Amino acid sequence: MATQAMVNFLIRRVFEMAIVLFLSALASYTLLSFAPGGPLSFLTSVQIRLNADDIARIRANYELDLFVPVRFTRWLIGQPNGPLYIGGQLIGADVVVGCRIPDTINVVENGKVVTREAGCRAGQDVTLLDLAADPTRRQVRGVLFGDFGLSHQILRNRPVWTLVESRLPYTIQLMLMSTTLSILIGVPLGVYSAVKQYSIFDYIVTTLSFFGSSMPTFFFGLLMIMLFALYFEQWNLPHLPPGNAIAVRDWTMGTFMGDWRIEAGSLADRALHMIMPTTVLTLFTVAGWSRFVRGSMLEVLRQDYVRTARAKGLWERVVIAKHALRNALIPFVTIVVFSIPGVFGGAIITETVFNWPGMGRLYFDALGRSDYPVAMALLMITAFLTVVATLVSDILYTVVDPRIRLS
Amino acid sequence: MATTALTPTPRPIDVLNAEAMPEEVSQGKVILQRFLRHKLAVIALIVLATISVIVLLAPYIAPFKPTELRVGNYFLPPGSVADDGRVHWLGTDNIGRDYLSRLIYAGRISLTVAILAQIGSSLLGIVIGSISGYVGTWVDPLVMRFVEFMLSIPQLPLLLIISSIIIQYREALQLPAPLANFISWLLIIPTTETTQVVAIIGIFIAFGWMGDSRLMRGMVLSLKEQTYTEAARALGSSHWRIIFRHMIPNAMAPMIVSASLGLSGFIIAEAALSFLGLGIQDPTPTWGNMLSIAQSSMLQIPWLPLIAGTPIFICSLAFNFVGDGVRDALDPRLKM
Repeated sequence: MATQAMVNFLIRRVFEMAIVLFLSALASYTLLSFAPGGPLSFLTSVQIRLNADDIARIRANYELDLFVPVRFTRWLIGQPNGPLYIGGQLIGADVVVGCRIPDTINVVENGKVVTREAGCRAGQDVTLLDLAADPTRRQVRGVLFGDFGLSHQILRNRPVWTLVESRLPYTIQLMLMSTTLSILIGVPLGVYSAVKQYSIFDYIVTTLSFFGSSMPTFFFGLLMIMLFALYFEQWNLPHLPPGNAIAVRDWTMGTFMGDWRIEAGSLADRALHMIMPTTVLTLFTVAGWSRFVRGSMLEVLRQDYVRTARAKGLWERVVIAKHALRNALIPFVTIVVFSIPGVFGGAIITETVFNWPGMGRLYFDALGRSDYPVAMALLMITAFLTVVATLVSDILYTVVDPRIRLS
Repeated sequence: MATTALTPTPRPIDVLNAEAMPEEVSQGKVILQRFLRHKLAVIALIVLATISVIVLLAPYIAPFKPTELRVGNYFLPPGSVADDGRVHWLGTDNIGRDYLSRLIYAGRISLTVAILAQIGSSLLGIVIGSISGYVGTWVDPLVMRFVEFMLSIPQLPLLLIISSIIIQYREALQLPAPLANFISWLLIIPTTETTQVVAIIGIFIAFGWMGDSRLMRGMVLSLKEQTYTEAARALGSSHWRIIFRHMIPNAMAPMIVSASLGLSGFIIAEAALSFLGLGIQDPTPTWGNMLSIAQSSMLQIPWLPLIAGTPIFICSLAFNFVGDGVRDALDPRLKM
């Protein structure tokens, strides 16, 4: 009975997740297709003489000559790839799906002459047959089948996935570290200040967590760079590298015990680079999580079963650890799971401040350099993780608390 | 009152000399007293009031105009004296503009953006939430599904895309002249710069109303079951009258609390967008883009980020404390 309900719930939720993902893909793709810039604007901005054929070739290379809906379905599922071939007959070979060279007209707008695209130049239509017949056109498989397309700018003409793969380890490294630290610091802080409610300790923790959550991550990051990287170097104290994940060349760190030479790419080098970004992310998370744990702990400590446990004469330590904490952590588990999508989205600012070569930085660079396939890939990964995390946290809720039923 | 009822011969009450009865304390006074008990909130409110006054009187207080620059006066140290005897109290920035003056004018813009964005998203949330909760039927599930959808897509990345598109098209977009003139007068910026400010506020509203609408819907759903709503309906009040005269006023307390806590988020969000270069652009000063410039010149002047970022932190902290105080005062049940 319970498993049947579970299966029904899962089917419905997966279906809903697919709809949410599709809608957000559609929305982001539409938005990005209206965004200015792109591979052509870069080429024209460096003043390379391009004739109409060059432009048509480049547009074909990046599929910019296709209509947006066609581009979207090709991006999503890799279709249409050409005319249908049924029973020895080509169906829809002449269907126009794009335009190689759009016609331009000059319009006067607000007293200025503006060049606008209007219709297609005669004989330059792209048909479904062209899609299949043109050998230079890339065969796409679609995001659903693991093909995220080609990067326009950051790694020109290389698969987006290569780029994502190269950045992924850095982000995961940073996130694992800061999540672990946040749990290790945040939970004890929250529990202790709940147990000692209204004590000086509680007061300090609550106030500090206010400071932590009011402190913008970018400002805190810059302050750390200022102090530990720039000033410490000036004062000849052991200083930290201001950014990046690995040093380009060996560097020396002045300490009280003489200069330490740190080899680029060594474990010490990597660890030293991680300190500041991890601290910034951890501080921000600890502020939120400790407050959350405190709140849920206070709630649990008021419950009857805690009073019963105390009345039975159990040690206070056992009451706190076994009876109260376990129940207080139920909602916290979902919060932690829910922070997983932040692996990609949430660290944009921190990674930018510290020049950390992770996914957030990549997304920001992709937007700045109009590399929309890369931006699109990251958006979809984040959206996917978000819906999965929501589902997992819903399921976890029922696992840790049997009273909650899925519906 | 009880005494007058018991006395056999009723005498006129001596209003002037009557002692105040304890239950005569008004609701407003109770709320004020509860707020004043929160010391940090009171301090924060004073800080915010001071900042607001400084920012409102910007043209009279700031020694320089925000875009006034002197070629060659790059990165002057604090306390340097300009040719005409005016003092650069906090020095100058990378192209010779007075830092203190820019901070003051930037505050005017940053605070206005945050406040307008919060008011806008609260109003939108109230309207959508109350309609959704009140109408019910097919509207409510539809609206709530949309809210869930908006909350389940990653916000920051989308916000960045939209604002980067708007920034690149900002020349083409045009505001209606009265609005542009009003914003330009309010923020003391050229009318050509008003589009981006309004666009940023618009984006924040578009992404900020969901929480408030959920809260409002919940309130309306519970208020719908109250007897006074039933009474109003029995008396023949129209739906709009019930919504605007009964529902919204009764749901105000949590909405005000949510709005005052949300302000800090908008301060940080605006600063973050501008810091990333996707918010309000440079000649117009905001705390965020000043911090971004400070970052790029950190090698020359390491302490510059400290000056540009402190107001962001102070305002965000103060709004958080005031919000906490307002919550304690208006709705103590909400306290964690």
